[in-house]
Amino acid sequence: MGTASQSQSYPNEDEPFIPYVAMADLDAGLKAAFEPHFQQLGFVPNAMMLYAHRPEIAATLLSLNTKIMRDPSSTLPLLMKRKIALICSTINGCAYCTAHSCSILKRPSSGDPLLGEGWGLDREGLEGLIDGSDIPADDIERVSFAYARAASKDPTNVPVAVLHDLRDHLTPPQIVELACAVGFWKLFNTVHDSLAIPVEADLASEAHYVELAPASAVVGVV
Amino acid sequence: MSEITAQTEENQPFVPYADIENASTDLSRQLDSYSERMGYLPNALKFYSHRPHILKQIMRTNNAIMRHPQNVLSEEFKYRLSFIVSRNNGCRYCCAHHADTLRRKFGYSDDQLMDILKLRNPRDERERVAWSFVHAGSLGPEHTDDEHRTDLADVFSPGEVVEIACTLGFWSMFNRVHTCTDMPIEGHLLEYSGWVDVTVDQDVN
Repeated sequence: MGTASQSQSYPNEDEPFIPYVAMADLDAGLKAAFEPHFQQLGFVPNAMMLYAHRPEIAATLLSLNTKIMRDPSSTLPLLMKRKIALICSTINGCAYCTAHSCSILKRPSSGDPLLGEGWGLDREGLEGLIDGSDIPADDIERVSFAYARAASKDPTNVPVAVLHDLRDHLTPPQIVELACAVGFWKLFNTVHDSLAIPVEADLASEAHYVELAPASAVVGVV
Repeated sequence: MSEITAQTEENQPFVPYADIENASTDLSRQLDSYSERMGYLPNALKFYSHRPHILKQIMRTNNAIMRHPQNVLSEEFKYRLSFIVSRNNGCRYCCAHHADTLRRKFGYSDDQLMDILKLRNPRDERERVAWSFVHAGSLGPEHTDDEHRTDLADVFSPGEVVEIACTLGFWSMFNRVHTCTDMPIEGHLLEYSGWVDVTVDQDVN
């Protein structure tokens, strides 16, 4: 396995294979839903401008993301779910979501994750999450990361011990939230990867982290 | 159907289902509307009910992708795609549900279900292209290539492409949750539990 600095670069932003919806053509209701999200991110994600071809779907996906990742009633910490997003995205082989996850995890904290999210992780921290050499903060992180890795590597064979560990350390609501986070990133990873959504130029330097997933972990069934 | 061996008993869930008897009025209303559409309350919803705000949004997303009035592709077309995706993702639970839905709601025979999973006899060129795309997209990231995408863009509008990709993505999410948590198939659907084991004779790609 190489290090991020040795990996290939993704210098140019490609064109999508179907055109983005132009900002001027955005459905009015969708524009209102998108704005706070774009403001928080600080840029317009390419994926959203493709989803915008189907406003009824784009709006609900945005809400699903919010409900699973950062709803005020969440039972699991946002930082842990961000780490899980990175773990799942690399194992699922999605350069687009990996770049986004790395960017959020590396960005300095603004002091209020709900306004401008950032967690200040360094390169070693990201690499540890991706290659599995990280040291979890506590038992909840440990069993949750084990589940996220097992579920993404071989979903039909999640070891019983991993499930039992979840049951021993997480409440049923936390288990549901974790399973939904792992599932949600599978959704985004699958759509973004199958549509080959171009990584935004500002995030291109983060896309190579996807290559750090251990070869044995990258999914390719049947 | 000699390839299919069905389970005979409903398993216990890995975590106990939520207490839906004492659910909030709002959640009960949501569950009731789902039960009305399906004819029963799926075990998966009893699981998601531990996080009602997530459950409600998942149900909205399911409706928005599969059967929203503004959708441009038919629900039946998307269920045919979903069956392929769930089989490729190895999701016994979702495959049993798709088989049931395609039979109950759209009147499919076993032979018609088998045709879908074997990728045989697509209805037209558009369906052939969509099948090929979701089949590749659910086998893993290295299976979808520019040819799939070009073919898709040639015969579908951008809005239809997004709808197809979201169908692929949405069921991949459900597949991942239900497979990894070993979601028990409901007793009355056990007869459909073997459809996930049907394989493709010859890859259409």
